[in-house]
Amino acid sequence: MSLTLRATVPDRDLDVALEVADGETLALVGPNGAGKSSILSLIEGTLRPATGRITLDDGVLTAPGTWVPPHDRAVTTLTQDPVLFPHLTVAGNIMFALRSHGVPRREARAATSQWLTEIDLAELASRRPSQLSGGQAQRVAIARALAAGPRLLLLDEPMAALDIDVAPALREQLRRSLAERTAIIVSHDVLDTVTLADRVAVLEHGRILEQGPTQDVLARPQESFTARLAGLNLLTGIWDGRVVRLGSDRSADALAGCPVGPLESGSRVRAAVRPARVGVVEEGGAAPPGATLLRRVVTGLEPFGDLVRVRAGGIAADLTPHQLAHLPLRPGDTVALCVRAEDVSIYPAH
Amino acid sequence: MRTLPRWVLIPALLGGLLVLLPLVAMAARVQWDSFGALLTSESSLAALRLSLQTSATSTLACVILGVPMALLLARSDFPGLSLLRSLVLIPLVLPPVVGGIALLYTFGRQGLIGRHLEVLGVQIAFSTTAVVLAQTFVALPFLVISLEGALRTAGTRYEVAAASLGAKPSRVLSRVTLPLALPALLSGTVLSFARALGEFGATITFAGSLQGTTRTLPLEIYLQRESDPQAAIALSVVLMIVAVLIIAVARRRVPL
Amino acid sequence: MRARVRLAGAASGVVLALGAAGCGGGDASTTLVVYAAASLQAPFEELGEQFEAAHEDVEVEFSFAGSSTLVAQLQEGAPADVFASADTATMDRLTSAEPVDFASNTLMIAVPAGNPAHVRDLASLAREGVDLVVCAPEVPCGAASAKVEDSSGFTFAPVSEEQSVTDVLTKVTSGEADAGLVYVSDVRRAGDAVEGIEFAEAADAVNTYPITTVDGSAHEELGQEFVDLVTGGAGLAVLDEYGFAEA
Repeated sequence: MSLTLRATVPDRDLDVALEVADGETLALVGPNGAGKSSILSLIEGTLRPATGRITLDDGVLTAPGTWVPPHDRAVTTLTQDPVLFPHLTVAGNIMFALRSHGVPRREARAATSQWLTEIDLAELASRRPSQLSGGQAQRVAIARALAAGPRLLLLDEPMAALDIDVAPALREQLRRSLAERTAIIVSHDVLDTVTLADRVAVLEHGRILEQGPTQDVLARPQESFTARLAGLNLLTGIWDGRVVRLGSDRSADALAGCPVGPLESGSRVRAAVRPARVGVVEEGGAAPPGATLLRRVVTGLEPFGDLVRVRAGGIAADLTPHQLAHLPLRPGDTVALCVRAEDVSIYPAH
Repeated sequence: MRTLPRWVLIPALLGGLLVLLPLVAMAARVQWDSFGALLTSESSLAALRLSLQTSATSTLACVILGVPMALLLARSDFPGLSLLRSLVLIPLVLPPVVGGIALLYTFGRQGLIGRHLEVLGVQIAFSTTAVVLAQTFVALPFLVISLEGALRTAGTRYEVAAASLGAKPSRVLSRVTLPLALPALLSGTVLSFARALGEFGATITFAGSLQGTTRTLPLEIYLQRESDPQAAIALSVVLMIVAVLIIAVARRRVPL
Repeated sequence: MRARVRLAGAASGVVLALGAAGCGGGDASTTLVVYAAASLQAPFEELGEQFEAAHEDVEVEFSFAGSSTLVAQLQEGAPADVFASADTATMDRLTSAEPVDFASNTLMIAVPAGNPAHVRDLASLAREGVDLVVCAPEVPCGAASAKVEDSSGFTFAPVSEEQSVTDVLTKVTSGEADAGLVYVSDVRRAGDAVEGIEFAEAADAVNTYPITTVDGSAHEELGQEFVDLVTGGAGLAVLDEYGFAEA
């Protein structure tokens, strides 16, 4: 069940090409309005591209002169709203998916109780959707989507509407369900991406900026959006064979770090460092051996869990309140950020 | 209640009186000792039977024709749609007599279509079919308007979800769209039935008036007024009771 | 039909308002209110103009409707000065009235121009395939039709029994019906749209039009003058012109 998609939608400034291999889960990430939902609409058949071609396995879904209607695509979408049919019971909702594919009533009934057992909601079979909690409803929606036997499953922010304490159980359920399936998930939550996706595609302004295996993309982001998603500071510079030059002139900062793989001298590189590993040195203090000091102007401070995130010149540093008490920082102050070489990974820029 | 200004009460009460007082006044004129005899006269029973038969038939016709119309109006998008929507509602605002005249020029013996039907040996004028046509004409907008409104408000998300689960369009319609719109469909059906039952102007203009064939209850009431006002009052009370029953039954099931 | 009743109601409302103004005003013009059967509309409007020409400061207001409808309104206290009915039976329902018969009207067969069903006489009306429309027996013209049917020995199977004679005429002029039983005056009024066929049996069902002043009228003398106009020579001349015969 592999998907290939190439499509342009000028109305929405969308021009993308992507592939999902058999059994693979692709995460589509990107800021709001980047075109993620439009891509899902193209695949499920509710949006027609101006040009392009979408194929699932050997079958063409969308191409010039070809248009498979949504119900014939074997593509099922799961959204943050479970959209359970309010006039049917929980069992009736799952039955609906099975019966829509011509499963005989008796078999459908048996399969329904299997699905209900699987999602651990057998005792709620005869409830109406209005009598379910948000988490329960979403579990039923997952079972219903899977019962439809889709060749491709599309998940559009499936956990966005759930309480924080319900999400983990559901995420685990999805992880199990998606293990062998071909799926595309759209999510703002990096945890969804990490736990559920094999590959990530980063979308911005209707274009795919980078894509690759989840771990590679999140560990070595090329784009600031990806870096934010991965919780990393992303710096760009030139590799001079020893350090990263963060500017063009001689006085530019030289950032020491650990190259991931071979780097060509004089090439553009990216450097990633976690905000928790960025320290602050007192005025007049010296850099510890092997560390780089970067002087930047503070732009803002904000609470971040039990830490305080200090933003200075595009770099974030997470400090403990205790550390901050010794260094009364205000926006506009100049601060010396301290980064140790072993915390900085350096890799080529694409 | 507490949030309303007190003066609202006065026009509201006046409005209520305007609706209720005539009903009370009519009930006060009923001669109850002869009530039963007036109602069970041959002509009254024939009119009642014909009214129920034709109203039921035209309500069925409204459902068969009106549901697809409402679906198309609510779910399609094409230039001229809003114009078409207004046109469909014309019978609602048209004086029924005008509707009757229009029907006459369509299905009458000299009419646009009636002329050709006449050649085929089919005559609609003066037949019970004409009564059903007239009632369907005036009652159809009630069904279309209430169902279309409900379909628009409900939106398409359940239908999109059903298609995404692999349900074919006709299955989506029968298992999702219509069941979800059932309350509106019921209330539209009830309104259509009530409108058909009360239909007078288009019927008398288009279908004529003959006991057992075209003389429905409202026509019988109007005719009895000439010779036997008491019978007219008795029949009016029956029509009123039927109307109240319809509203009561419908209200219990659906918010009208 | 319904529209006409509303008109009659609206007219009486207007009259009420005018009457009240007259009480307060003193020398404002007087309004004489005449309720008359619908079939009398054309001759009465003409007579009304004559009356107004002869009486300065008098305005004649008419309310034309079915006789039964008018009687019902009068019984509920409608403010009319004169009432002319299309038959004596309906007039008799006004218990206090002392009516004078002023005209009569006989039935006639009306057929659409060209007479598509080839109707020749009363016997043709009983023929299969002729769509006959008559008045319902509950209204004066229908009572007359029933009388004709009885005395002729034919059995009619009308496709519709209409509420009023004008409704019968409409069905004939529009070509919906092949034939209708209406008054001579109606055929005259319809002009070229219909053809009239006389028949002997009509003499058995002559309809007489009575007229009276209404009890409690504020203008009883003026009302009587109008009655005199209608029943006098001038009235007869106008009525004759519209197809009515002497009483």
